[in-house]
Amino acid sequence: MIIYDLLVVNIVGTIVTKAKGVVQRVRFAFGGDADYTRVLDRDEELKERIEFARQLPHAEPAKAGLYPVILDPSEAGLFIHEAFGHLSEADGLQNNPAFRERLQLGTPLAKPLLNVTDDPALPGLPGTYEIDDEGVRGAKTRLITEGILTGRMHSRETAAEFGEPLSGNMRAVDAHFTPLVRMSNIFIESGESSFDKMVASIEDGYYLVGAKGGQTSGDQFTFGAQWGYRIENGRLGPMVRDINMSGELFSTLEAISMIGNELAFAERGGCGKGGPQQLNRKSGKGAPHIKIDRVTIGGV
Amino acid sequence: MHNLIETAKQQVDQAELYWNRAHTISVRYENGRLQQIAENDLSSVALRIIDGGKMGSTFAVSPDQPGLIEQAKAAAAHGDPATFSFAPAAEYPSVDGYDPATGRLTSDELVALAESALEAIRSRRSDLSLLADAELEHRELAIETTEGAKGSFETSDISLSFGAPIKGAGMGVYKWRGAVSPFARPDELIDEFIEWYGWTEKISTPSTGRLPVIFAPDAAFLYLLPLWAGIEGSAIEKKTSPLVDRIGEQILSERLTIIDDPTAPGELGARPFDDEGVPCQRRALIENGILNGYLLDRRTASALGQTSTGNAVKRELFGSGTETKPNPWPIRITIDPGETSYRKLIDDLDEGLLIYYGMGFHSGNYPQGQFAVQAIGFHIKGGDVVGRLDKTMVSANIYEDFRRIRAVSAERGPSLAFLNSTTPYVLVDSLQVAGA
Repeated sequence: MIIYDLLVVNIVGTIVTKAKGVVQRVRFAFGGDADYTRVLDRDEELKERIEFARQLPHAEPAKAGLYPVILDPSEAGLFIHEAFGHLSEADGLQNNPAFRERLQLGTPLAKPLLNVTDDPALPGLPGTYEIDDEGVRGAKTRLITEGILTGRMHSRETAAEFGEPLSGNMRAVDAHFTPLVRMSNIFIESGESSFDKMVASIEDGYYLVGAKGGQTSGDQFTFGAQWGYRIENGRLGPMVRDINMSGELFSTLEAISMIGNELAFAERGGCGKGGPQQLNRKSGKGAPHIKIDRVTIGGV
Repeated sequence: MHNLIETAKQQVDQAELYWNRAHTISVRYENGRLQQIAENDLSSVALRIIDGGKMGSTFAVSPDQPGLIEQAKAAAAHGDPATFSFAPAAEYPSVDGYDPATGRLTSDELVALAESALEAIRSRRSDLSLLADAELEHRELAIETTEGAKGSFETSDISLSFGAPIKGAGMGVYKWRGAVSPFARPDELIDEFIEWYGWTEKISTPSTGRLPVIFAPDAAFLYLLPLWAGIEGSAIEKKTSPLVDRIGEQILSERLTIIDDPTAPGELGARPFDDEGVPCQRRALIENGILNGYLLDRRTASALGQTSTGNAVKRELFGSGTETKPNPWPIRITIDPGETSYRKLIDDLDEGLLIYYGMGFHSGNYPQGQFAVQAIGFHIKGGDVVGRLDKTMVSANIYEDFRRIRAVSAERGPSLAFLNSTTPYVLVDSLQVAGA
């Protein structure tokens, strides 16, 4: 018999600002695990977030087109979770012959600078746990190692079917639901580039800040950012609003050309999957800044 | 009167009992093979109370479960101030949304329906990795309040969806049919699937710039959800909607008349009262492009000094069910048809897009009428479909771009399981497209 507590403390909210007839929304979230003190004394950070929200209605909307971009750790974490992580959950591949063929272990997916890991043992993160809901100990899984697909997340059933190691990723949000294969804490490992060096490498592009939700289907993705900045001639320019990006996973992974040297994890977890949908708060994601050479930006 | 309401009358200021019972059967095919059959009987109850001027609620599987009133009272001790009353007695319209023949269907019959559709597709395209879902639901909803509202109704719902992922792409082509009564294999939908799937076999990405865009019925959510966010009562109350104080103004093209029609007899989603026990009503929300009114539940109506429009639904943008608090939503959206056939809309385009889905809708600033999505659909050139879109985004603000609608089709179809809506193909004159 395995008995454990699942306890998560979160405070989430949206700041709505209006100026010159433009209304903007900026989200905030504190907490993410069982430590109640993490939601206390966050006034200064909230004020900082309110200040961004105040500025946002005065910003220009993003301009549509193809651009090089830098994603901040929040947006890069969302990208790796949504666009790649879900395709590394084996239950989604079981009955999808096209992606199963394309995602065989050993397949090169990106430049050697990219390393992606799922690890339920990292302390204090939203997706941290010891044992999954089939009684398997959660294991660190190297999903991409130096650009090569090297691992996958499994249930007991999918591990047997794929002939791959157990990873302990089979989880349900509560006893009403059947467990599904879920990421724990997925993250892009730190690279070597400084943020300034990344900005300096872009003549005409955008810097996207703060995950604002997204959607994927197979290898296609679309994500929003809370706000962004123009990058012109290697320098950060003015703030922009209403910025979304979309693309295709495999060409986007290949287009990751720089990885920052400061890994950061999202404080609050969350992931929806399944039908009926299971909204799992015990799901973490992280990344350093990353540069992608070419994505589609939606805008005016 | 149910015992729970009878007891609540003695113990709290007001109470509202919501009791939903559903029998569902679902059949799922993946990669052309039967993957899962599930049959469920579910009962769920929400009890809301007003006690000491504060709101409290609790949830259970049965109204006979002991301790419900005490739990709701405990919640009310820390609840929001009550700013409205629960629904009084009312006369409900007669709405027939239940066919016993649907309730009697078995999983074998759903399997046969799905198999029949898949076999018809396989006989023409044996190379596809087919998906199918066949589902039925027989639902009984009862609501009773201490203020006198009391009603119940039954609905039946059978649906079939099928499709296949596009080879070499993340998206697929899917078709959906739903009805109150059992239906035969939808051959015309299968024909359309085969034709549309054929269109996906070439890729054609438009250049970045402004182009006309046809929204298929399945893509209607891209402009209906921003409109909902603009006319739902809480955005009006908080003055965050761009439609505050604009009733009577032209906000969309005169070609658009959008009706909320919950009481149409025999139609999917029809119901006599909303999730607060307020009578539903047929109402034009937009008439020839002019804003006619807002969507209100009892809380937002009270805040605005108006009466509920019977649009309280236990639904949020992501999620619905007994434990969701009521919010103002349209219940059965229909858009009046135009006179042009949808084929002619395509034939007449020098260059444009036909889209049937947009990915990433909720990441945009939709409460302000905007969306910027990855467009899933087709590229049209010289009146012909020349291929499927790839890495293409479409952006719009409905209050600017949907003022210029070139045509609305005579044909109408359902939006894939969205708000039971029935909408035509809508050709918007010019939208920002980010492509090659």
